[in-house]
Amino acid sequence: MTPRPTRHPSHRSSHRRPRALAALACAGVLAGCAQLPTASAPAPTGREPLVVQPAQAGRVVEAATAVLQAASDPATADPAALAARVSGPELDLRTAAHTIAAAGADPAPTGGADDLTAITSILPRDGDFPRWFATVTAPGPDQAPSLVVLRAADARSPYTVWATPTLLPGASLPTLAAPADGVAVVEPEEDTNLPASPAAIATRYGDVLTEGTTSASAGDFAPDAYRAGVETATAAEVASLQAAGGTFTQERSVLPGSVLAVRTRDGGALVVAAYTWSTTSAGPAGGRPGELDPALAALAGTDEALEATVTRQEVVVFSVPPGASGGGGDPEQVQVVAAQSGPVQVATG
Amino acid sequence: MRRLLAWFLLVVGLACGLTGAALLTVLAPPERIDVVERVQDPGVAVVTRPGLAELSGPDVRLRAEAPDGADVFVAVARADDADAWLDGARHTEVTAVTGELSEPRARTGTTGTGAAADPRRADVWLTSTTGRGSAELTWPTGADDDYRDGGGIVLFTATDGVAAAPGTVRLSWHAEGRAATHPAGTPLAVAGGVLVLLGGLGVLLSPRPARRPRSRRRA
Repeated sequence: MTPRPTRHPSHRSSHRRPRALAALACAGVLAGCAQLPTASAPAPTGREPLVVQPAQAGRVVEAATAVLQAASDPATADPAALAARVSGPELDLRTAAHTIAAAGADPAPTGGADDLTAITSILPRDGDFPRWFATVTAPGPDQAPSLVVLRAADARSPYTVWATPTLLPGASLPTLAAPADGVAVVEPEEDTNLPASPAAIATRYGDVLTEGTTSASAGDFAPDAYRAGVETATAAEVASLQAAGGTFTQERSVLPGSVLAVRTRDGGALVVAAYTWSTTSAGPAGGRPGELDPALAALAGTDEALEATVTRQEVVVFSVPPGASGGGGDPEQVQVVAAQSGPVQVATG
Repeated sequence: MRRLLAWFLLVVGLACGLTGAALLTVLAPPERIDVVERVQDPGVAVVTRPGLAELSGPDVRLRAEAPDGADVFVAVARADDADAWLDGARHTEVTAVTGELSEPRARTGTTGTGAAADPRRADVWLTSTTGRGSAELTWPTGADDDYRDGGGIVLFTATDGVAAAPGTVRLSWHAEGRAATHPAGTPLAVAGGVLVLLGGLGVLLSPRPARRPRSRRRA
């Protein structure tokens, strides 16, 4: 038996070498080929997003402005068409103005915006709905800028103009961060670095408007033109009714869900709040019905009444200085910087 | 031996150079990455996963087609806003682009139940457009990093938010980076050129082997 000849190792490796080289070349070519990129999810920042981007805000305001301009004449305005881009106190006030104008009376000025050209925006950082943002408009014929507040109930609903309070004489808005940076939201019950929470400030000012100088919170607020006007009108009404033997009662409450606030650059807050203010003027028992103001008569649907309950919507903007609640020293007073109000309903008896 | 090596370099260099040139020209990848997704039952919307818009290139193009000529709405939104708008409604999500560069495919999944609302009423869209039967928009992705607060950017298409979303969705990116060229192309072309040069010089400068004198047949 002859031994089987064994293959020489170098002979075997010489066979494998071309295969290895070919495999290496293939791998090299494959590695050198173009490849489909892979998508990667963006890393979260942990920061609340702007409610809308500045460009988005511009488009929203443009759409809302078009609807408001189409309804600029209260006599011909279509409240149903307005509802597409107007809501809340603004819709109530404009609907009332339409009713008054349609009846041939002159609606009283409400302090709403008379020019909707936006010169800057206040863009809160808030990822949740409902959302809101505001624009500051150019001064119109009334020579005063307004704060146009727009709100969206949910992601599927458009932003609607909710209020347009105009700056009061001599008042100015506090400094806020640039629109692209956004402003931090202050929750209604949050009082961090504030003399009181936005909700508390709204409630206290409502009390001041109703009770006047006898309110326990009267000292918390600096004098303002809106409060002076309300006090004067109320005093005149009370005096007139008392002289005739009648009575005057009033009630004011913060509109639920209406308190909005953002942090200002100095650490304070800009607060917006709306009120429902009802006044009941009643003539003397057994007396003759009194003649109603034409605008109120249009809302009431009658020219005379012995008793009239007028419901008004009020929107007030506060500049709240920084300062912890309960802190020492004499804190700065809260300043009302803008306001809007008007009758929306009249009930007679 | 030296001459043989020179010829070897010349041949290998030519092969490398031609391969490199081919990879850079006739075998170059397509300029755009195009994905067409046809979905039978897409729900009320088709939306991309965050990050997909930035797959490649300076922009992304979205085109959607509805077979019945319905109004088609296409938009770009922050991911969190699109989620809030969908609010659990049945929709298709394009989650990734897979496969070969020459034949990329979309990977999709359908989730949710129920309808939504007319997307044209909402204000959550960063940009949007509507067309009858089809609609298309191009979104520059260069600043998409700015939208990370809102979960990133997504592309979105629907009809009226109640009826079925467009069944054909085309996503297109300009190929960039490793998707735009074969990385081996330029090195192969350069290396091939160098080898051809060296080989050519070697062939020219190497002495030819001396020829054997012919034997005289006729003496």
